[in-house]
Amino acid sequence: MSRPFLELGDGLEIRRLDSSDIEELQGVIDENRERLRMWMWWADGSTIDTTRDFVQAAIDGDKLDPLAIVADDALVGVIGAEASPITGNHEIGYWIASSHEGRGIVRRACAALISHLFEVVRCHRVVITAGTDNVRSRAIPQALGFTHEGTLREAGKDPNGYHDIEVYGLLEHEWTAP
Amino acid sequence: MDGAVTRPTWELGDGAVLRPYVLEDLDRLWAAIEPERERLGRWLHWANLLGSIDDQRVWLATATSSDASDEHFAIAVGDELVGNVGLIMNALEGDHEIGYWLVSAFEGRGLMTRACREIVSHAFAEHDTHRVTIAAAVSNRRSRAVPERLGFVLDGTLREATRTHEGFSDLAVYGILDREWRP
Repeated sequence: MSRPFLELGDGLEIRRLDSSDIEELQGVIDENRERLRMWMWWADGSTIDTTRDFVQAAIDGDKLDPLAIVADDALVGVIGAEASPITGNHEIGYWIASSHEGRGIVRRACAALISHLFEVVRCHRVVITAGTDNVRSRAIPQALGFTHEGTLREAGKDPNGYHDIEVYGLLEHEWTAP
Repeated sequence: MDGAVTRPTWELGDGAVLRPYVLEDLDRLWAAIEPERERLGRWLHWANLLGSIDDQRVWLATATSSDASDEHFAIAVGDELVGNVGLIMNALEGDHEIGYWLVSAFEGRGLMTRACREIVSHAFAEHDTHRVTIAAAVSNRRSRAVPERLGFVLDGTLREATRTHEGFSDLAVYGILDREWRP
């Protein structure tokens, strides 16, 4: 496993993915597939081959998307920040294994990544989007002081049809790390 | 693109047509954009990055490619090219976004609204899309007037989400769903 990219304390880290993560990551996806497939377009078709490609693209791209969320040396989720080439704004996405939900892990990982984006990458704006019914996911930007900026009607596709997407934004001068 | 989508030509009235690009459009395209780079660049950052006709040649090669998932159409009046409408696919969510520009001499005639009306209908009919999005800087009133006239709903205002001559500008995001569309 790679060196920590951001250390969050209490055994929690964000690391870059490397090829030794592929099987562990696929195991977590398989265990959580039923929950993930409602909100993550890739979850239904995820196999060891797609996950290998996903990790290899992460290694080749050397970007902030995707990164592994690691708790006590176990891979428990994924987080990433993707840049818009024109504006330099970043959008953050994430998911966490159900075994590690409800402990504030995603909130802490997001906070660390946001501080990195504003202080090191020097970006101006960070966006988080989540399905309207994905209450747990929406709680993250709400807890971190994001502003709700709109609802993109039926802009999200899921196995049952379409769902509304909530858009939250945060500007660099609004950020105080918790 | 999903198989062979036909790219038709539409009459927009007043001698204007909306049509697919051909490689021979390069000089016409540069003649339209070159004198307008500064004006377009106030709102569309890519226009500030255009150095020469060679940059435009690269774009035109993509715009005329038959296997490209995005579609681009020229607004032409006679032998002159006066504007552009692009239809950009978001493969993950099954929706499309429209972007456009028009030279200043042809503003104020409803030309862009008529062109976008055809492209929205085209997106719903030919691409089986569920939603069409148009985004414009809040202070770019002419651009915002297009989705507003076409019955789009303002879904949100993304604060300081786009870069314009003002610095970072708020971005108005408009959407319309297939069942809502009344051309």
